[in-house]
Amino acid sequence: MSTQRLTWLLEQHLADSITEQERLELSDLIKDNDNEELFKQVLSEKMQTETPGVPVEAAPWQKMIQDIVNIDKAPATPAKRPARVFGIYRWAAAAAVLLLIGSGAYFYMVRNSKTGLIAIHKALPELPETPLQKNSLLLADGSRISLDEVSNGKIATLEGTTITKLDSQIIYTTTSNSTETYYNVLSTARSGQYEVVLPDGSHVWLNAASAIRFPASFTGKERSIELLGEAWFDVQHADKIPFVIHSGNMVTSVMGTAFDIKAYPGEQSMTVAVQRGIVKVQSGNRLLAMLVKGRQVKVMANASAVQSNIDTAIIAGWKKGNLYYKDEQLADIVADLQRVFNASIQINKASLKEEITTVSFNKNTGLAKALAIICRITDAKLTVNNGMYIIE
Amino acid sequence: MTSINNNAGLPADEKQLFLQVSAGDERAFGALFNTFLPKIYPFIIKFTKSEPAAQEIIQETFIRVWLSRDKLSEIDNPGGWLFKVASNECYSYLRKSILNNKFFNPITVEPDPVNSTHESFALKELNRLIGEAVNKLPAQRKKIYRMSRDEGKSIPEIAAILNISPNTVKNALVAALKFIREYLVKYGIIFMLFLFSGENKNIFFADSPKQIPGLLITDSRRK
Repeated sequence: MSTQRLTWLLEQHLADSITEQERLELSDLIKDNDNEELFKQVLSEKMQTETPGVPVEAAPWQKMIQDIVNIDKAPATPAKRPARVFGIYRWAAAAAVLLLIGSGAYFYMVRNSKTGLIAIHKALPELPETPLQKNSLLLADGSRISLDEVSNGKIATLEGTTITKLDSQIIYTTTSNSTETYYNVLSTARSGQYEVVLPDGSHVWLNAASAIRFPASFTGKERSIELLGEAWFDVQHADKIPFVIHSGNMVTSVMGTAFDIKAYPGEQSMTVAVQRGIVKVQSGNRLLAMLVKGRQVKVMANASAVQSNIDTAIIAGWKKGNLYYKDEQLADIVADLQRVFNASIQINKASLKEEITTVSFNKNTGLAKALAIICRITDAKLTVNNGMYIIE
Repeated sequence: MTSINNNAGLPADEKQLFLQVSAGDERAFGALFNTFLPKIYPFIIKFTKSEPAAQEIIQETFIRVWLSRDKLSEIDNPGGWLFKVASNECYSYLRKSILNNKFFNPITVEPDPVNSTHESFALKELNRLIGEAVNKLPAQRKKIYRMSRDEGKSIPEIAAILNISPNTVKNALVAALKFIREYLVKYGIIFMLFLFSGENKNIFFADSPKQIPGLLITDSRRK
């Protein structure tokens, strides 16, 4: 059997110009097992020389991708899956802002955001898709405690772990080591703040509209948690067990220090500022900075990292209601004010959004006055319409 | 904000994509699919003259890619390899159609309306078989596989949680996939593992193929 003849017959078929006799010839050829390799070879060649083109309808193919990757997962629980899958994209998109780096970092982010978001294991409660209305604690079994509505004292007992509430603080105490790791999610509302004392004695203060996911007891070689938004950390030293914070693809690891991480989804930059000790900041596996006391790093959307000095007295000033913004885009400042004051603020001029601004005030100043100050600095006009502040 | 639904953030380099897919990265798999679809679709549609048949061939091609992902990092020319997998599917389709006298009457290849759930049934059946295989894995290996696939955890994360080395996790995942493939072979779903060095071509021929309608092609012609 000659390659040329087979190629020719196939070409006739592809061009819709094959005769009845040639069809029979092709049929006979393929029924002969000895021609298998030859057929495959010719098919592969013809396929590769064909002009590429996109199918008319895109939708079935995107569904096909999903079907295929789901094929080796446990059968979906029909009601829950779609909503959760939607959730992934929202948050992962936020994380993707930082991700314009090498593929290694890209991979890392995907895995990380997935941990958070695709998971269907009941021990892995989800980080909120959008800021919640109330400060709340989500337990591994899916139950949610509204923290401002429960009184002080013991609020939950998990396997070997007790959670106690004291004003705007919750404290985790581990009494016995449980074999399984249960994750909890603490979320703050806009204009909310909350503090948690983790089972290792580390303190985390969550700023407004933020969330962390952490295990109710730490096991293994790493104390690993995830952060969305801003938090101040005072980490208890534990011999050879680093404390690792994942925020988007930014990985911050420390031994025992105090520092602030600001990593709200969708913003132009993420910042890590160190009050005490040494902090390592990575993008995926790539080292971005080793920071010491009084240093901060700003990681931009294009993954460039800029280090600068910062007065330790102003780090995490938000804990006392002090709002400092140094060389930040106005859009990011406004996003922060919206969270802190739970207000709607709009910038109606593109150039203004990117205006680099330095400004500070206390929360007690009030939003209207704060915005007036900002408008004076940036030479903009402030109006209020239906409770919405407009800067133009 | 960057949208996650496009592939803008993905490296153009195919080899890199294959590497990411081999680590179980679903988004990289989506990107790989979207990269190769325009390259194989025009030929396959001309060849089958049938949209559903073309979809079936493409789906089976990529199911093979996905379930053989642990092997992808070993391939030097991943693009060429993928064309080979796709043309093997075309060959199987051609043979099946001719043996069933359907090849030259594409109309009869179209699924009839009554049978429209046919395709999803086949996927479900494959999903069920894989689930069975996973349940037969040793406890630790099963746990690792479930953490990886169902919970989307990365190898380092699983290693940290279970307090074992990343290599142990990786090996467990590779062994699990191999076991799944062997399990599927037992049920007549055949894998073209001969494309990879070190695996026996004889695996191609299962002892007692069981036909799963519309799914990966079972070829018992040489029995």
